[in-house]
Amino acid sequence: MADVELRAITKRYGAVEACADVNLHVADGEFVTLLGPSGCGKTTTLNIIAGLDEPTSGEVLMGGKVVNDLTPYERDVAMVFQNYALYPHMSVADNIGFTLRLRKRPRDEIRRRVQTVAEMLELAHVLERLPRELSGGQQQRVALGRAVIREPAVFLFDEPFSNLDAALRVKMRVEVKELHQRLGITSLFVTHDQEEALSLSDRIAIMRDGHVEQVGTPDDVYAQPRTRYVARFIGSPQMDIFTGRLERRDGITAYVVGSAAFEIPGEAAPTCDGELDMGVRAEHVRLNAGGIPMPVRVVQPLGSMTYVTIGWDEELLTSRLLGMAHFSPGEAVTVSLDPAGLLFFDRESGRRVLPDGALA
Amino acid sequence: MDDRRLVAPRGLTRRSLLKRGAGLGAGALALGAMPPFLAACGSSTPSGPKELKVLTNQPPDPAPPGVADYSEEAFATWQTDNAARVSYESIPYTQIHDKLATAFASGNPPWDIVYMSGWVPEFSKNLATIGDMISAELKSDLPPSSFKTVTWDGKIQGVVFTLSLMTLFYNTEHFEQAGLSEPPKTWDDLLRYTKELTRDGRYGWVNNYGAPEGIGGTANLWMSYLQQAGGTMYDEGGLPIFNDAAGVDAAQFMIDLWDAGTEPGSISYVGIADTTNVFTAGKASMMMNWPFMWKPANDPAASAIAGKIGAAVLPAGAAGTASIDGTDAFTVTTASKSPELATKLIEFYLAPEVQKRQVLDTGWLPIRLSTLEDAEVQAAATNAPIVLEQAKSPYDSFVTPDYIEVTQAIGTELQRCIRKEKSAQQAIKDASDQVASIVTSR
Amino acid sequence: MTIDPGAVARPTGRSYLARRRRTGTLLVLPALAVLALILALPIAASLALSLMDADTADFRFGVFVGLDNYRTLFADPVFALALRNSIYWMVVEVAVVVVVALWFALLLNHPMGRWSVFRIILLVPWALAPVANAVLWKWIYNSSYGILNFLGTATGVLPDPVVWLGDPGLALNALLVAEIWKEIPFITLLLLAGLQNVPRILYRASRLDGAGPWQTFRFVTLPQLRTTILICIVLQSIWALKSFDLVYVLTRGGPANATTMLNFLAYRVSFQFGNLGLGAAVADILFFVMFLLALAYVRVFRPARAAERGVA
Ligand SMILES: Nc1ncnc2c1ncn2[C@@H]1O[C@H](COP(=O)(O)OP(=O)(O)OP(=O)(O)O)[C@@H](O)[C@H]1O
Ligand SMILES: [Mg+2]
Repeated sequence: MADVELRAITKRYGAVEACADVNLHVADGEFVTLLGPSGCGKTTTLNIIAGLDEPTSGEVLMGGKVVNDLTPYERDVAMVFQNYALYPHMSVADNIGFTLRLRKRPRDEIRRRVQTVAEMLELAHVLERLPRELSGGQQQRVALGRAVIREPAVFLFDEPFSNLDAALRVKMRVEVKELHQRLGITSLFVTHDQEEALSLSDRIAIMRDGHVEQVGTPDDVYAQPRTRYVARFIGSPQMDIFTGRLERRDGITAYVVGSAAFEIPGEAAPTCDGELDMGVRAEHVRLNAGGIPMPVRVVQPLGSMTYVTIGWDEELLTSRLLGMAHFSPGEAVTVSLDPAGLLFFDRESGRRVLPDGALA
Repeated sequence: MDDRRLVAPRGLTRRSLLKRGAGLGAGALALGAMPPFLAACGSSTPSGPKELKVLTNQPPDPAPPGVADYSEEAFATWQTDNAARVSYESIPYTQIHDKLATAFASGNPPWDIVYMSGWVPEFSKNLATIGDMISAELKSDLPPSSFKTVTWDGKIQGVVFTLSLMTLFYNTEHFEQAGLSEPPKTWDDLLRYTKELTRDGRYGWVNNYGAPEGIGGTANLWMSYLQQAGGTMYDEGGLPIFNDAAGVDAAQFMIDLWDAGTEPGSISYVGIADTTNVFTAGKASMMMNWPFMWKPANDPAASAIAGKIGAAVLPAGAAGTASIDGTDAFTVTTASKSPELATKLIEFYLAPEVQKRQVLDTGWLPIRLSTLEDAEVQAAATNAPIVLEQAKSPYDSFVTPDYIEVTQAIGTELQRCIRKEKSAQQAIKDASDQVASIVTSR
Repeated sequence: MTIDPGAVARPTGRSYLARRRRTGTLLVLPALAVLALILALPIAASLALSLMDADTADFRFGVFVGLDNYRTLFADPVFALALRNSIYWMVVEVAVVVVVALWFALLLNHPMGRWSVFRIILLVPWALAPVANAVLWKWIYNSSYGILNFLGTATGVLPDPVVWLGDPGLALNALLVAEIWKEIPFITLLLLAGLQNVPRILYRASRLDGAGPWQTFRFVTLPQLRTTILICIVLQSIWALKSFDLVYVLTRGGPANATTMLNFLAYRVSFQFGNLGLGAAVADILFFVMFLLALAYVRVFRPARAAERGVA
């Protein structure tokens, strides 16, 4: 068991900066997710931790010691690859037991440990098959099994579920979480699926163009995004962010977006005013509780909740209502915003503007 | 393009390349058919010129005018006068036999005239009997023995166009250094000379024992010693009789010569060009060689010993000197539609003037006795008198229809005894048994 | 509703698939006929020839002699020697070529070996015409002025010049070296292509699993290259049996038949001795051996294709 620390990790491929000054600390036994869009440097970061790639500069520490010069094996990390990377010519049992075989463990022990892992991952009945004779989910679990059997100090998962269908993905998510709770091994999990990140992690590191934009607990990054980028990336449906203006007139504060002006209680707005972006999540948009009348554009019933999208000018705003709500397109509703859920961002830098006017 | 090339439209680069390679590439380069002959265009007779196709050697092996650079004007004139168009296919010597074998087997050889080197008996069925067609004048001017290798079943099927017998070539400078004033006259002399000349990283003798078969192969070379020892190959009935004292002596002499100082690579050289290269590099002092190598060996561009070469008749064994016949001949195929014209072309190749240019321009000796005696010829080809002298003694290459098979068998046994895998006696006995079975199954 | 596959198949009530198959057969028939003509005919003719006593001079008047030619061959010590030489040649050539080529392929596949100049240099022997290669080696091995003896004696490695082509054992192995030198590049390229098809990610996985370079080679590279290597072995075996140029140019089968192999023997007997029937018998035995190898090749190849289908 060990904690993992990245200190000013930079990795360049020619002109491309895959990692740009990445700093991150994963505590012992913690489950941290690297979240970001495709190409933002998640895999690169993971490979550097694993020791499969060398950073251009910066240090990787494990258990407080710099491990830059250690081989992947010496770092005692196990990794589940983005495309499983099972050995196609080896049976499931051999795939899982390969690392023990390399360590010259006795045959008996290998068989026993493979069996245990296989049972845990419901693979016992396919041990003699080749990877190509397995379903996607089974292959995924073999990849997990290959990592688990090592009982490593650190687990690295690189988008392990990206090739699975939605249902299987949710099921595997539960399995991984359970696994982590049972084994308590320090884990770094890469994904570009924010829901996966939110549901699994102790903390989430949101990456953008090679650097870490924000690290925090799921609550933190959801409710207190440090930037417009993070705010947009986290949460479903995506946060609506408007490019309007904060105006104060006659003691009334309002956010003006085109022809609409939302009135905001003074304490909910930052002290500065002018050209700010404003974001609001669907659960903070209230319908028919007073406010401005507007027409409904689209209604999406989802069973446990309903998304209702309202529009004016070129702007759209989505509201989430619990249960099945009955609206029809074109219907006029009144719209008001929950002041507690409003976030303001500096238009230039994208950084959040705190109530006291300072940048986050 | 100069006139010459019009007359001989062959790739000059290919020829010069081969000269430089001195036969190394021989047998190897796959050559397509030659472009058609161009000389007679424009002057067509009502019936159009008759076409003659000729398969022949590439220089440095002996070849007719139009392939080699001599008598080209006369050649062009001959074609005009005879309303003929001659086209050549000239390929390396080592490929000719195989090409003939396949073409004759197909039943459709494309040529009127083909070059032959000891294969007349083998291909006898495919060759026209031209002995009756050639002029009495020509016949009377050729050495009678020259018809030996082109006659089978009593029928003359070809005409030898160059006197090609092996004689001794020796390095006069090496001789001087060793205090030797004349060429070796007997086997004993040769062994002694070889020993004395083997020094300073040089060897007294060099030969090509690498390829057992055919004219110039290991077995053929041995036949010269066989005749020097007084032996012969076959009895009246065509059965081998070389398994006697002479046959064994000949083989033993090759072994003795080996021990006395034959250049060790000799066992690996597969052609006369390899051997000549060693000799002309000054790394060996003596060799048996064909007359056609006299000129290149004396060419300063190709030889380190130009002008330092002596020629002599081969040293005598118990029965005197003797040699072997290179048998470079032209024949007419039975497939030819114009055998008379083809014979006429061969007569042209052997016309006195052409024969003279042949030796003066290429070094290949003529076969006409009158030309050989010509003072100008003797002055230019200093080895000619020696070859003529050698021709006074036997020089049989004992060609038969199964010549290659026979020489392959004998030559392989000789390689074994030269390499001391068996005694000369044993080798000759084994060879004789094999030849008997080859000859009887003919 | 199906589309009628042309006027060939009238709606006879037979199933669509049957009609489709019939049309397909009709379409490939001409190709099969051509194949039969250019492949089967010569093979059959050669087999027939091997049962005849036929000379180059009058081969159209050959006489049927049954298996006589084969009997003659099996009693002939030269044939036995040629067979032994051929087998030795094939085994050594295949083993050395594949092992060395694999080593080269690994070097070329290494990041430091990726420089394209290496690949061009590698291809030189292969690009040489076979005969040019033979002539080149003839110069190299020449005992009197060859570069090998020159370098050997100049550096003191060889106390005396060696007649490389003069000693039976030495000659065969000298030819083998020349042959191997020429054959390595192509097999290297095949193996390199195979190596580049091994997913990089497997190497990362094995590094994480704790495999060293040798273990990675043994457990990942080699099994992944298995099919490629088998194909190389079969192809190279066939090519080895077909070798001709080096023997023809360098030794003409000598000394004392030490470098005579089946292919050269077939040539010698057919075209030099003019015994086409016997030559055909040698060639047919050679053909039979190569046919078996070709079958092996097909077998090796088939599972690979099935596997691909299985994956897709
Ligand atoms: N070996 C390499 N050579 C050059 N550029 C590379 C290399 N590996 C990665 N990159 C670049 O570095 C950047 C980050 O790549 P990385 O694989 O870490 O992205 P990622 O976040 O894992 O993306 P994805 O979600 O698509 O897997 C990309 O722009 C990529 O093109
Ligand atoms: Mg990735």
